[in-house]
Amino acid sequence: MPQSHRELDVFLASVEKRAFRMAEIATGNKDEALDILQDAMFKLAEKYADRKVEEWGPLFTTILQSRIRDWYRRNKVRNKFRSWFSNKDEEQDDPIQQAEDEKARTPEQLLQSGRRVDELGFAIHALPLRQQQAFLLRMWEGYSVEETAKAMKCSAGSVKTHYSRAVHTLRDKLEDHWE
Amino acid sequence: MAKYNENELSENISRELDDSLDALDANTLSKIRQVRARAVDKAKTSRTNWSINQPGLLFGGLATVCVMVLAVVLLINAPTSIQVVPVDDIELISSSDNLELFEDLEFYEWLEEDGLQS
Repeated sequence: MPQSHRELDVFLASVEKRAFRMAEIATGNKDEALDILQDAMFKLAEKYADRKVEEWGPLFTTILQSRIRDWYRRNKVRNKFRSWFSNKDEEQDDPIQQAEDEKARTPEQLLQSGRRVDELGFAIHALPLRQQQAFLLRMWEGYSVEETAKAMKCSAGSVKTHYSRAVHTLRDKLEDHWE
Repeated sequence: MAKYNENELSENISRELDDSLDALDANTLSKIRQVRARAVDKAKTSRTNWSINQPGLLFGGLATVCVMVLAVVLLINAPTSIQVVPVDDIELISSSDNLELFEDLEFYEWLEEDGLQS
């Protein structure tokens, strides 16, 4: 394997788990998160493999955040179409649809059950996407406001607002989380 | 009043998210590694394609330039197939009276000879 390919492999290995986790928190689904991770890695490999190693980090973050945003938009449109075309009368008559799902849990129930890691993931997942992105990039990745703004393709002011709101919400939600 | 200040909250969340990376199951980790391997393969392929195409592009470009130069040279040196017609001949062809003159040329010759004799 040539040096640059080895470097790319090492770089991707260093970011893959975090990237996957971010995508998983955003989508709430492992398969979707893997798809997003794959798209982001492929794009970096195809388009930016020739760039300097130091540039890969910010580039990969920007690509990943764009992919997450694209997924979010697509999902929103898909859900809208589903709600337009779904026949509510049929659903009401269908006994299978009417049957109680024993496994279904409310967000509150979800928050109380399972591992603490899942609770935290759920709390962050419940944030609006932009708040999620600003919070994870600033707090977890340790990006500056400017770097976060660049990755999110928005202004520094927006990043500050999103981050502040996210901190406020999480502080309230996770008040008893670490007891 | 909130229990945690911003720094405490950030540290706690950051630590817990880091822990969650170690808790990823083997199946997910395997899939992530497969994705990475495919991405590195992509980088190799895209670079290989470029290195394969580079001489191809060079020869293709050279061939195109040669053909264009040849075409220009041939165009300049080619014999013109349309002959330049003198202005007198154009007048001769375009005039209908003159055509009649040529049709009755024998008559005019006879008239001229006869007129001169008489």
